[in-house]
Amino acid sequence: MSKQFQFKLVLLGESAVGKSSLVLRFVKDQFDDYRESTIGAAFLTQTVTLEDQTTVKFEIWDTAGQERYKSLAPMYYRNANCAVVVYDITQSASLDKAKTWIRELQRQADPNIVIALCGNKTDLSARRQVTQEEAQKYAEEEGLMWGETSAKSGEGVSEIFTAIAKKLPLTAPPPKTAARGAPGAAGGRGVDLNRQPAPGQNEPCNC
Amino acid sequence: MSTELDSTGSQEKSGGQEQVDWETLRTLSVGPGGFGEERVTIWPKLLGVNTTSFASASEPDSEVHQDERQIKLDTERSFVLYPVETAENANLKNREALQGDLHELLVSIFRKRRKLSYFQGYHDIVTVLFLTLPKELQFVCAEKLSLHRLRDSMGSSLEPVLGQLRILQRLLHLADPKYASILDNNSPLPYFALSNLLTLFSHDVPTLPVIQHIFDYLLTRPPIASVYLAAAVLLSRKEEVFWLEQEGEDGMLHSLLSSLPDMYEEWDDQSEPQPGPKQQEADEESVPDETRSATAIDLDEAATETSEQEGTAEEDNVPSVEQIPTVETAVSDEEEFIVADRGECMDIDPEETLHEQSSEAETEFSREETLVASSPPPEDPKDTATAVMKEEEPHGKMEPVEETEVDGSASREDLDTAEDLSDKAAQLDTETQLCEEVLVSPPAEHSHLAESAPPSPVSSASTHRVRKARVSLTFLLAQADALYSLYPPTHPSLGVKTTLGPYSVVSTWSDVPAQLPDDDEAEAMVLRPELVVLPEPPPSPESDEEKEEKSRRKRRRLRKPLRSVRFAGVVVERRHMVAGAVLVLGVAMAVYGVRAVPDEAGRHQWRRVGRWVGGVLVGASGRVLDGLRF
Repeated sequence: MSKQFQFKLVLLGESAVGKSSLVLRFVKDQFDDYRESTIGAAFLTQTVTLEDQTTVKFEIWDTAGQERYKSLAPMYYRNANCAVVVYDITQSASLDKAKTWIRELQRQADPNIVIALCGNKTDLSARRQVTQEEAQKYAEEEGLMWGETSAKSGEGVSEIFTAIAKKLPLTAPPPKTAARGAPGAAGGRGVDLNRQPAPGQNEPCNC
Repeated sequence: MSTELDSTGSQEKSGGQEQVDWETLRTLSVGPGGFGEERVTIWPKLLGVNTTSFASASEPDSEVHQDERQIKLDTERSFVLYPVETAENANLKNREALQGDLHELLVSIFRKRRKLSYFQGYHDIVTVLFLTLPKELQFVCAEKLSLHRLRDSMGSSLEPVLGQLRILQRLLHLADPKYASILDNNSPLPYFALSNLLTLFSHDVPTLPVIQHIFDYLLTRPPIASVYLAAAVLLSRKEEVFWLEQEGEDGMLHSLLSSLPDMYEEWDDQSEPQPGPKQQEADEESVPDETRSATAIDLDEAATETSEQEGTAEEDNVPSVEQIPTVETAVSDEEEFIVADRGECMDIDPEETLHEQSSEAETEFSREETLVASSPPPEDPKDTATAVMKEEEPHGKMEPVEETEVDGSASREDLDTAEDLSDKAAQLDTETQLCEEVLVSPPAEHSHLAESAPPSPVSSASTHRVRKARVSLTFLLAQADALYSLYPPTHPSLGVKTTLGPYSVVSTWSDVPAQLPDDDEAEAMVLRPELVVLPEPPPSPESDEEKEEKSRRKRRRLRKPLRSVRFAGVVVERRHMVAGAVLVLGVAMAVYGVRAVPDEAGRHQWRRVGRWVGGVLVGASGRVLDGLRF
């Protein structure tokens, strides 16, 4: 049977850039026009199946964006294998905030963490303030993955997560991190279910 | 105005401000429906608002508060679940208009009280006031609430609420050390309760009547009551946690616990029609079916029924798992247990005895759960699941669709999360082979569970699904009061005084408005965070005692013969626990009535604890006994 991996992913970024919406699109392929603010953090999982039938299960910690919740973030990125740092392409200040997060990750997180910079809200590109060139250039300089997404339309969403899955060290088992100390601190456990939930397949019968 | 309030405990007093009969209101607040319509006049009094001559909103102060951008971001995504436009409130403003009004209200508060900082979730709290009170009272009530109850969270950092989380953690350890340890293994602090404490549950309760009732409860009690309620909620999730723990999904536990259980009102035919429309709204909001909880589905059905039949069918729907006939043996067994313990503890300080008894009751409780969760033979999971379901059928309440029951553990914020859960459950049911794979690799980190229960996620999954139930709000509130009375804030092991400082609302709160700090003084307190929350004390030597306690419990558990497991034994557990708590409380009240004395700094916040809990308890035990008679 094919290989299964489990990785911890943390979402960071300024308030209202669409972190929760991005995850909702990725995990459930849905979008809410009104998505409430996240308090503290939310946890979700999604499994991606790669071409070689390797499955990668993401344990996703979706964090709150407001500055005052910042002190909680280390708990979520401390043992993360990957981070998606989100900005809003219509708010140039949100890219600055993303850069702050990236610096913090580079300083404090696991040195092997895979970081993806993600420009969200491409459906609003008429109001774009951050050019692709600018963000891409920054990402290249910092050695980050980069992509643009629209949680609303779904554009680019599965691509960025799949790209992360491919970039993660799939040759070695995911690091067994300490089991205690932080929410979600437990690393890969190899009990993943060997499948990719397709829309419709994972819906509990509701009739 | 005051005449109609006499019945609800408010006494008229000349001179504008009316005296509040806290005890009466506390008792009322726990009952089904809480204050109902009366809360419009009661809340302002509880908040110390002088309803005859209150200050209006700020003068048109044009200077922008630093948090207004964040306020805008949050109000633009507010009113997601309620209110709902229905036939009765067809003239309700549309969402954008409501958001505009809420934004204006929030901004006016921060422009007047400039030292306060906005936190995400504050808008959820104010939304409840906004939707409950007439416009002229909204500002002044929100201002008082902010200054005298929410202030700790309105400084520049999260530290004060983390202090509350530490107290919550200790409270859980007092109430149920074993369970608390499981939670500790997942998270250094009970972070899943963060939004409950920060937002007084308003961020997490999906319907207006339920959160209004919770506010009835909280506003009639000292600010720390939210910690006790959070503990009661967490303790009510124990079965689900044990199940998830066996599944070995740490994050899922966060998901489960950061969403509230589905809470319902016990007042049969009035409660459901109110949540009903909201649930419909959830539908209209295009929350797809599979993401909604089973309990939400119950609600939907209820809503449909009530709209069709004007609420007559409601009574049949409401009884949930907790109202299923009690297993007599379980109760008598527990009594026996307590008596035995009383013997053992004869020479000990009465407080200690009480503590012991209560934790015994809890031990019994958890032991049963463990047994049930672990006992179905793992060999044939599918059959077990079916058998359990069959046993349950005569009770007539449970959803035959098992997967959705699992889904029921989540509510709106984390719906997506639960999908994974239910996903997994479905998987487990249908693909035995996979189940076996899971079986051979139990999560190694959770050895303490492994020792009390075989790694049988399949059987426990089925048990869990069947057990998933709605929780009565009045039950939770009574539980919170019971906890308060057993482990009042003066309890040394809670460390309230070593955690929260003299500027914390917990220290400055008073039932007597004249003894509250003056509004400006209160506002200025946020600038001294070091006096709001104290640095975390070094690890206490308590842990040794705890270890000993744990091993003692284990020994007891082993001594007890394994009782044959019947499903009915599971469904009564919550009731069982209240029964235990109430028995203990009979004695506890006497003790704490005497012991709850003012301590330090002349603040007298706990003086009345014993008295008001007493009133509440009469109601709670009455309900429990009613249930037992079933």
